Amino acid sequence: MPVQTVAVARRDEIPEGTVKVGEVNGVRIALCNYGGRIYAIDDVCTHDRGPLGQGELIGHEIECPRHGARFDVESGRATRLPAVRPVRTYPVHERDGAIEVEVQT
Amino acid sequence: MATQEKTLVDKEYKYGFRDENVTYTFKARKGIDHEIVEQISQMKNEPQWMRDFRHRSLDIFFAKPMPAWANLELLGQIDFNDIYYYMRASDVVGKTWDEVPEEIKRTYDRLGVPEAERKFLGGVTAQYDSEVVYHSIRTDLEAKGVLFSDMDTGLREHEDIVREYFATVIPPADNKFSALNSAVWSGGSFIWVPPGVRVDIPLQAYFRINAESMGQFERTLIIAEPGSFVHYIEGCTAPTYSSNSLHSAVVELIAKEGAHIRYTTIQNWYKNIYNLVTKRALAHKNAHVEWVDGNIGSRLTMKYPSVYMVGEGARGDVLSIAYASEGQHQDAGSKMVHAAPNTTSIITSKSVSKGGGRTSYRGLVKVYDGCEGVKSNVRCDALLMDPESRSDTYPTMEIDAKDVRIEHEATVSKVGEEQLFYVMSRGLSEVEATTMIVNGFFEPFVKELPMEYAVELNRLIALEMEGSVG
Amino acid sequence: MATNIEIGADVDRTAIEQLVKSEPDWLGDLRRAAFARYEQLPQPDASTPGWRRLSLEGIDLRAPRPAPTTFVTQASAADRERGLIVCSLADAVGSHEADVRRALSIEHQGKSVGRYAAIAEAAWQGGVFVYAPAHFVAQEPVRIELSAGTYPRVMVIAGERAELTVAETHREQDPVSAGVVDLLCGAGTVVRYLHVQDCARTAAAFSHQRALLERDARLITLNFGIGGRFARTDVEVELRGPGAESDMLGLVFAEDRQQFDYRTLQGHRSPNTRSDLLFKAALDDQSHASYTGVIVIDRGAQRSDAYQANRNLLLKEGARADTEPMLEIEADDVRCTHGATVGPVDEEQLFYARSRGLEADAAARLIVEGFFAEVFEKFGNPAVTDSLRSAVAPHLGRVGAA
Repeated sequence: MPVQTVAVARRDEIPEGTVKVGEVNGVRIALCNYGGRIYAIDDVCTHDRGPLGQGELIGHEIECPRHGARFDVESGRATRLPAVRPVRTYPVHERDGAIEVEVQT
Repeated sequence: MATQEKTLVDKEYKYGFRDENVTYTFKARKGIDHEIVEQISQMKNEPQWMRDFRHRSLDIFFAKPMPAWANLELLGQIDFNDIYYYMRASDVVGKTWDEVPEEIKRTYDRLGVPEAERKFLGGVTAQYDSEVVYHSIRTDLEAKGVLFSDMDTGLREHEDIVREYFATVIPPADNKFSALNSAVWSGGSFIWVPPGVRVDIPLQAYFRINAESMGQFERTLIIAEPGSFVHYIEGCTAPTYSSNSLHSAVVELIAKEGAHIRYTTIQNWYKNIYNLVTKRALAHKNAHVEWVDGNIGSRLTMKYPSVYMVGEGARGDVLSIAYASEGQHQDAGSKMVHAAPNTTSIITSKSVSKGGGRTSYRGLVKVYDGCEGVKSNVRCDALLMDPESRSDTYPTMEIDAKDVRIEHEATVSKVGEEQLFYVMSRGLSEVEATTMIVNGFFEPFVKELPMEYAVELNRLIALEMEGSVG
Repeated sequence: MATNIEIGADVDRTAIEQLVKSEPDWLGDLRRAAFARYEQLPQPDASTPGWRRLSLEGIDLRAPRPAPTTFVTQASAADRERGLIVCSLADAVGSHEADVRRALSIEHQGKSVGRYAAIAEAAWQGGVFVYAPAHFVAQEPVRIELSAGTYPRVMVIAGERAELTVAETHREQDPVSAGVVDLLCGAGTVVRYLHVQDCARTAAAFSHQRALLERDARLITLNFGIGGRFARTDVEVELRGPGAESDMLGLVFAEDRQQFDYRTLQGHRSPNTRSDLLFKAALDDQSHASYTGVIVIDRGAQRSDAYQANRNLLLKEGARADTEPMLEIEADDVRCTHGATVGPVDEEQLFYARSRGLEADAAARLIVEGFFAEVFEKFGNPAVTDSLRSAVAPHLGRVGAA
């Protein structure tokens, strides 16, 4: 599976405890800063397929604003109903203050 | 937590635990805002995390719109500012027996409801004095290690368990009314059953209820550890009067591996009440959850007991009846979410509408991809007693797995003339015949009830049929 | 990954005004009113209610500029001599003004008079008009074939007690097309209508079919879906007169990543009406079928019977089916049933076929053929449905046992 590392945002655009949505190859990705580390997940709630990016970061979980579903930003696992399926995660690299996400081409 | 410190935190709270000598002065007033929520939490002496949770939930309640698919004609009549969201027992007492509606008193007579119960159901006394019965059940439960108390006590005495599970099945953001309940909840039951323990006697909320938690914003949490069994019953068939017109309860059930929970509800709220309930269960591997749900009263009930099957072999059942007469709308249904293979769901819904009443069934059966071997069967039957009544059915199925068997069937009809004629030719009057037919229609539900409920329900149906024909 | 469908510029007011130039005022007014409705309805996307489960990536749903439709019609000369009219709707505006005007002016109360129906009503060109006079019994079916165009419009008017069959086949290659079909069935008529959707695999096709049945009219419709990449079809039957009967049949054979979205309405507005709906879908590969159907029985429509069944056969892992059968019943002296099922080829049936010596694949094909056969039979006109069996054959050939 060929992968591509794409710069998506700058670190200083994502303060700790916040979420920023970016786009890579037409796919929307939510970048979450938990404890100083950036995690990348699909910007799609597996419960209603709407965007996650507007949700709040509560510790290491992102909460979908529409029905309260939660996902662990590191593993992608659904940690609270009504979500039952995990959200996809992407490896993140940081280079010179730029946040890069690894996606399949 | 990412939430802000609330500015209304009372500085007395730093003492943490309830000080018996300090009585918090709570002023009961209408309307809902952060001050009321703060007062409720202070009154109960709750830990900070619950207080924060309430405040956050209130913000979510304000932000959420009414559900667009619901009966907005009725829902739109709720004036959120004209409601008391919390009242202590002492605020409630003072109502006299005279104020209880006549038709309710007549029904108590006909049903043979005992004196003390009548006063309690009519909202005249604050507490139902059945301490003796309750006490003996308590000893038995204690011996088994079962925790059974009201939710407030549960939070106080078993904070670690409550904190682990509270709002994990129904988050406040789930819908507008779960958000409201999350902000102002009071009362309800807390049950925790240890692994392998079977609680043979059905646990009933009835015994501990007091007017404060008169079903208005009850919050119930039941956790059944692996291999355990518990049957919980709430409500009663006798008509229950409450001057608080908005009831919004939240019930969360967690059935761990191999556990079995049966939750029976009979609701017969007086016709002034909007009864908007969110009930959901999480069923793990080989767990079994049954919702047995009877909706007889209220002006508008919106209730869709659900089971999320996340472990292989889990099973969810809903057996529900709804009865709507003039001015009533029973909007009920179920949601079955199959998120694991070889899970099963069975939904049986029976409804009767008469005199212009309206019953609706709203359901969802959802099967996620990769969940092979799922079986789901939904059967909805509606009986229309006259040309004024109405029945709607809105089931949805979203099936993403191939090796499954999903079936849904619904019928709507009236009491057959031939059927009526046949029964009457046996010497019964039209009222008796109609009663028999409707009882027969509801039979699959009634036979699942403990006997005293079944008897009372049959009597109630007879009364209702009398009203419809006479 | 999905290929993007490129289309030309959107339709706009000037395009409509161009059409109106050479037409009577009343028609221009109708087009403008329809265009106004179209402008008020937002373009659907994943957040639109009822569209959540569809995969819309790479599908451009903008309404295109009007392009003339290419119709080829076929009707027996003998029938024409006896009074059957089959001509372009544009011509009928002149030759049958009163009938066409009345028909085009009907305000539909269906549940989903959507954006695409509105733009089709505003921007149709050419079109087809079929008219069977009172008491006319057609000897041969009328066939209509569409191979190109964006807004096809078909109007069928059956006079009192007339009997005829109309078969309409869509093979447009255009990336987006939206068509409207009106079936006006007079008292005591017997009309059969077949709609075949066999558009290019890159196409998005919308079809809005509405039927009005007068007293004792009988309408049998069959929607056969096999083409297109995304097809959304609304079929609404209003049983306006007492004694009216409607049989609504649907058959879908989907493969690859095709998506079929059907919405139906069985509207009982008068007493003693009957409707019976049977929609079946066989889904192969990663295809998806969605069915939403409502039975409405008005308060005065006593002694009506309504049935609705949706059956989905999943042939491969990855195929998906959604079904939402609904009932809104306000009359009590009625009989009303609906049912829906989703599942794979039945194991017992498969076992039985294999025990008769058939290979697994052949057994599965046989079962799928049988699945369809019921629907073909119910249509009641083999001359028309036989050609459908051959249309399905190559697709059936790809059916595997698992």
